Amino acid sequence: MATTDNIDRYLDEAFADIPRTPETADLKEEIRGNLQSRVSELEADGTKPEAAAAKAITELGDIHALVDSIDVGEPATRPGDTAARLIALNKVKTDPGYVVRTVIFSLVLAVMLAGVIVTAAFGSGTTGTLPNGTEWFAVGLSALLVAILVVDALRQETSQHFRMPLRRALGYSGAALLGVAGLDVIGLSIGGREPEEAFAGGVTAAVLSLIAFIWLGVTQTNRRKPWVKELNSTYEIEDRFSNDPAAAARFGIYTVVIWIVGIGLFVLLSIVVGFTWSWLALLGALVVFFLVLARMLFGFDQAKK
Amino acid sequence: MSNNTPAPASSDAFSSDLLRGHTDTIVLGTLRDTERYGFEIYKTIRDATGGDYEIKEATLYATFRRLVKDGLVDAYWGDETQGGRRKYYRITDAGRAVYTRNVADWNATQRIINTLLGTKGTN
Repeated sequence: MATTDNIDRYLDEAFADIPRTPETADLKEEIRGNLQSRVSELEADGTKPEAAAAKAITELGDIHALVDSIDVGEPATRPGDTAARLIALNKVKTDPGYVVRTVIFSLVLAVMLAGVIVTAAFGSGTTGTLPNGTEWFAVGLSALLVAILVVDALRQETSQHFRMPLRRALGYSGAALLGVAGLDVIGLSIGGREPEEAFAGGVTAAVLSLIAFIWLGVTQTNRRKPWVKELNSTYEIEDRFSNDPAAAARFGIYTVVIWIVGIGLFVLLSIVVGFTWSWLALLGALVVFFLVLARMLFGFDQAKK
Repeated sequence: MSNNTPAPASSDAFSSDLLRGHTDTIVLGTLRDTERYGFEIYKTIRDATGGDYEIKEATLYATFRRLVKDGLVDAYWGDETQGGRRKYYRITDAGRAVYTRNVADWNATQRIINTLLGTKGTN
């Protein structure tokens, strides 16, 4: 389209000697969209495309005066400043319908999966009163819901990501469908609700799903928006361990102590009260480990200054 | 867009300076019922006055940014897949409050000015 070319070329020339900040880039894109709308309006009134582009550009006036009239933003002093500005400038509104759909589907999905997990953990006795065929309904519905959730999420444009092309999104969706169906069937077989042939089928589906995910992951190209790429390339690591090696060393020693105590307790409890309860020692160690990590990595911003 | 319109002369039936002082409120007013993008706002204002008054685009771009900074409107990019992407503006609750207050202020000021302009004095 010739008119779009004209607008793009004009904008590139006009912004050539203007310092590139997130604010000026944002202004340029906003002007581009508005110019195109003005051109469409003029063309609808019968102006020829070339003339319409020229008129819209003339009407806009001097870009420099325009740039002077806005706050173009100062060079970032801290990485966090740039991030906050970029996020504000590039915000894309969430579709409320998408959020509502996702919440409803997730709730239904949670009920279905809870049923499968209960069957797997406690045997078919718990769900034995349900009529035959119910489990196939649960398997089908939960797999379908996951597939819908996945494709829906990947097709949303977000502030950070462009939407995924439909075919690839369907690929992820299909892989998820296969995976969930496979795991459902495996769970039902373990619970004794389905025969062994079903178990083999479930494993096959799960493996196929895994292969599909690996293929999709390996062939995945960049989906992030330019501003996110730019931000990531300039972002400096600001966590505490990078800035304070002594804290990192101390955390290392704490970790060793926590796990020695945890594993020691696990062995002791396994001997004394058996495996039924001894795993709680490992769980406890894991909780303490993460609490210490959170406390040491993020907890001391004030003290640092 | 002011280049092809005659430069404001003293014979204009309105004061551009006075109008310019109310740009923020005028823009907030166009956003009361629906979210709009820049050119839509420009067009709404232009068409509302039958073309008598055209806000300068530079003024509008500066206004949008000031309103966003003050939290009176939210800005976000629309998800148009073809053609130019549009930056939409939506009035916030704070923006509505400021709009209502400014309109009330203007009405009060207008009454006072009308009264004062008609006053000859009693002595």
